[in-house]
Amino acid sequence: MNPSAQDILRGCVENLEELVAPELTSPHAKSAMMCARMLINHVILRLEQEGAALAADCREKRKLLCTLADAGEFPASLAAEIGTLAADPEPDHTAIAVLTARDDAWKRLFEKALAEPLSPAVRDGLRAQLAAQIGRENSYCAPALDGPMF
Amino acid sequence: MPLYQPLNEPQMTAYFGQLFPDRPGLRLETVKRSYPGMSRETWWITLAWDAAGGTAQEKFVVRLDPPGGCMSDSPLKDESEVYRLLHGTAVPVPRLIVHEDRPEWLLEGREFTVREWIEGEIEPACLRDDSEAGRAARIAIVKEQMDKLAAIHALDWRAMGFGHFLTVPSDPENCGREDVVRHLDMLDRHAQEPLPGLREIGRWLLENPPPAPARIVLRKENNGIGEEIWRDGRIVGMCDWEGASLGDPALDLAVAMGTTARYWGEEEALAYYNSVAPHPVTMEAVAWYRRFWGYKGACALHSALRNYNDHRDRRVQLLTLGCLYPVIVQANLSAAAAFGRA
Repeated sequence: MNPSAQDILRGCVENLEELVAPELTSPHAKSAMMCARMLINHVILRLEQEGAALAADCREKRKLLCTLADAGEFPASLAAEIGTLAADPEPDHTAIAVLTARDDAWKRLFEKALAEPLSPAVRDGLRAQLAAQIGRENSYCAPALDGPMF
Repeated sequence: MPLYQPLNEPQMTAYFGQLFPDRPGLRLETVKRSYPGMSRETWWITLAWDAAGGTAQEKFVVRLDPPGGCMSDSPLKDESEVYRLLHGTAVPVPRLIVHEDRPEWLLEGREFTVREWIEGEIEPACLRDDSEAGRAARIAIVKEQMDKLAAIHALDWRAMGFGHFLTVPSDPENCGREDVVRHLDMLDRHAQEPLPGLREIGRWLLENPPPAPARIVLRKENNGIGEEIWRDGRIVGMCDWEGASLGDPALDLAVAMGTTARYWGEEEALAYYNSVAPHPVTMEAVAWYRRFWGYKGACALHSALRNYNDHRDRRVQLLTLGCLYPVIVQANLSAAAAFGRA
């Protein structure tokens, strides 16, 4: 989705800094606002970096512990636990920005396909996939709108 | 671009001074911005000046686009023209005093309008009384809204000149389809990402058009509680005409069902409208336009994200509406269209 999750949060920080902060008078409220601003900035950085960092950390730890276990550096019970965990491959990390660009490319092809004169069955099939896509997107939109805006 | 732009009070004081040169010592006594004013800013201004024996006062309303530009494609000048044309008709509107677009008076580059202030309330007090005893007063409010919508729909818009600046549908049969096509065109111009779901919902609406209206009418679109000025149970000023359009009157009824008719009943409100309107509207047409209203909102609010992504308008309300509402509407309308039941 465009704007990205990070840019949505940047907009929130801008609104807090320009509109909310100057209106606050209580020191507790000011402190809470400043902390909220810092935490949102922290979440922006985590969204951008944490997935890649976790994936790299898993790869490095796996490689090192497996190498040491294979070299007999650990007790058998610990080596067995390492073996159990290493039996599953590490999940690949793909940045949300990369996935978004990829999904946008598929969505553009969907738009082109739906603009063609299609048989009812083909159109129904494409519409069913759209319903699935919209349902997934709605699962992180509808619950967020949980009260009045104004 | 600032999130909040205070009204330039010295400039406005000078502006009113040249507008009313016979008011000595003219000053802005109060300046207050209405809330929330997402699409356009509305400022309530009280002017004061020296008069024989003391101070005289008059209130005005100033309206202008937000610093980042309007969310819609409709220019402020068109909204001003609606007020000008409607004044003095059976449709009560505040009198337009001036639409100001002279370069030397623009507010940070923005045109603005000045219109008269009408005393009243946005929500009739009787609506807060949900007792059985207050039912008659609540029904009277719904009837008043229906009376005024019927008055709008009875206007000879062509003779009044609305066709000179509002898009005129080709014929009544195509009103609904052309409403949808206009919003698909909006997506072509402003969509911030590929939206195959929203476009396909538009196709579904085109495949299943509403019954044709008896005639094309002037529509207010945004109407109902919160959009009009009320006094003693009567509408004394219909405001917020930025969405005014020409087309099927069922759209105005569809909007009213969500804002006003709930204080009585939808069937009853429509039956009353049909008893006072020049041409009847069917519940089938209203049902179609309720879906279209959601679709239109989804297209417009998503398109408004262009101002956010261009860093022209970073208000979080715009973000909330533009990111969440279109997805929720797509979920509702794709379910109504049975997209998932292939």
